[in-house]
Amino acid sequence: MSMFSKANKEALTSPLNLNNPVVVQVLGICSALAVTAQLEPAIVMGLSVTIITAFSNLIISLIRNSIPNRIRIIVQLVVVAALVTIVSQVLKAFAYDVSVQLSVYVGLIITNCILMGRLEAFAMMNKPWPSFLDGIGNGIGYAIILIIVGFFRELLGAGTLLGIQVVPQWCYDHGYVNNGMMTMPAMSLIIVGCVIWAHRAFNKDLQ
Amino acid sequence: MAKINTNSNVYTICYAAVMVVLVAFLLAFVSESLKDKQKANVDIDKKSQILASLNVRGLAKSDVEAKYNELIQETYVLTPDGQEIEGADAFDVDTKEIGDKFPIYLAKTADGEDAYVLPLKGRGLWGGLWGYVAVTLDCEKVLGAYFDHESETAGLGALIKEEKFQSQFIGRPVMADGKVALTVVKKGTSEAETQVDGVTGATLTSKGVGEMVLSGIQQYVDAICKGFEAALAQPQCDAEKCCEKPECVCADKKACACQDGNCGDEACNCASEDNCCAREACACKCVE
Repeated sequence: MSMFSKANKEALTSPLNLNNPVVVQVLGICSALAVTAQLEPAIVMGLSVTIITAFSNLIISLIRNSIPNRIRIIVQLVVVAALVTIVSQVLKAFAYDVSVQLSVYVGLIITNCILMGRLEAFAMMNKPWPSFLDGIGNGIGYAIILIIVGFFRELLGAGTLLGIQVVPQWCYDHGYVNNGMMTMPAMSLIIVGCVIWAHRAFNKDLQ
Repeated sequence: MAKINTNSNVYTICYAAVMVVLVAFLLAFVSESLKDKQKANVDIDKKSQILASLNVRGLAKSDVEAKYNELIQETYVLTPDGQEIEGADAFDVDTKEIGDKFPIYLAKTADGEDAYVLPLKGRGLWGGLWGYVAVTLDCEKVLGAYFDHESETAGLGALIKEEKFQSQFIGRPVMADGKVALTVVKKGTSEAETQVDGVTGATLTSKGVGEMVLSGIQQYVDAICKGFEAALAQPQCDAEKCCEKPECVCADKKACACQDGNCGDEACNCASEDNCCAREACACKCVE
């Protein structure tokens, strides 16, 4: 079986669109709500979830045949938690600024439903390499949605992107006001709803 | 090799035990081997936070240490009674200990003004808050402020970490009517110079910062006042007036004896007590 056979490609690319973890599988909504008030944490969160999903998928897939069935969820949780802890420790030592940025989200990664969902649904039944690709695919699929939501919330809520002012001053001079509602968590659900709407409108077979 | 039954109880228990031990060792090893590096990072970070309250921001990591040593002149640690703890470095006082100990940094701001930097701690919406407020030596005016948080919401409460929010504090009066009045209020409802605008959409975090600043600085003021009172209650035993205060232990016993009309000097055996002492620089001399 080649490294990028049709099935492997499928594992990598289907979560980006037709099997997107957020808008189709409806996993990880909670963190989409919490970290998307600005674009930057959304990107960082998306990236770290991608890395952790990929490696926990890989590890679980490697040991999948030895895991006792009755405690498999606990084993998965231990692997994820250990991985997250190690990553955060390494970041703290070698990339302190990033680790400060991530402080809250590291804990959130452990509880992210996408991880457990993918471990249960994919890594327990597939070989390591496809599992790794599946992790990357799902992480990126999740990151895309986060970035879309973060983009709109920061742009409309604060008039900035990545902290840089993008709405020009003359707009404010002519009466434009930042929408404070956008900085509220509830708005991210509405934006996710709009994204799901648009996604379904384009993909008739999902309806 | 026979296939192991992965569903048996023995296997399950052994598996769990081995896994837990392995993971524990792994985590302990990682944590232990990275500890020093992390500690160094944390120290640098704390120093740059203190510097931020002195309006020195955006320094490269490598420059923080030198700038810190340049601007921080002295540090004190006070007990809640205002007594100075000898030999304690304010930098070693953990944020958690504030309230039992009061670390104070004597420093110069970016503009060269003398300032006390007061570390503060408080509670936000989701977790702890902390900050450093630089005030003038008479504690009347804020020269700079820095706040940070453990886990406030990104884009809302987390904005207290931004310079935009913190720079509002610069130049504000601290006291009103003899009490600390500096605080944070809902945006647009500020009525006095001491009330700083909060962050929109982060009412509870803003309240937390306000409470931290108000009660935190008040605690410092109280501690320092108690220290002053204690110092005043101590008898002032300087050389000139030492003898007037019986509670004082005076170095120059002889001089005291003179004033009482008794000559303490054994070498001075005069018949008349009245003539015993001539006060020339409070030394005993017999006057016959």
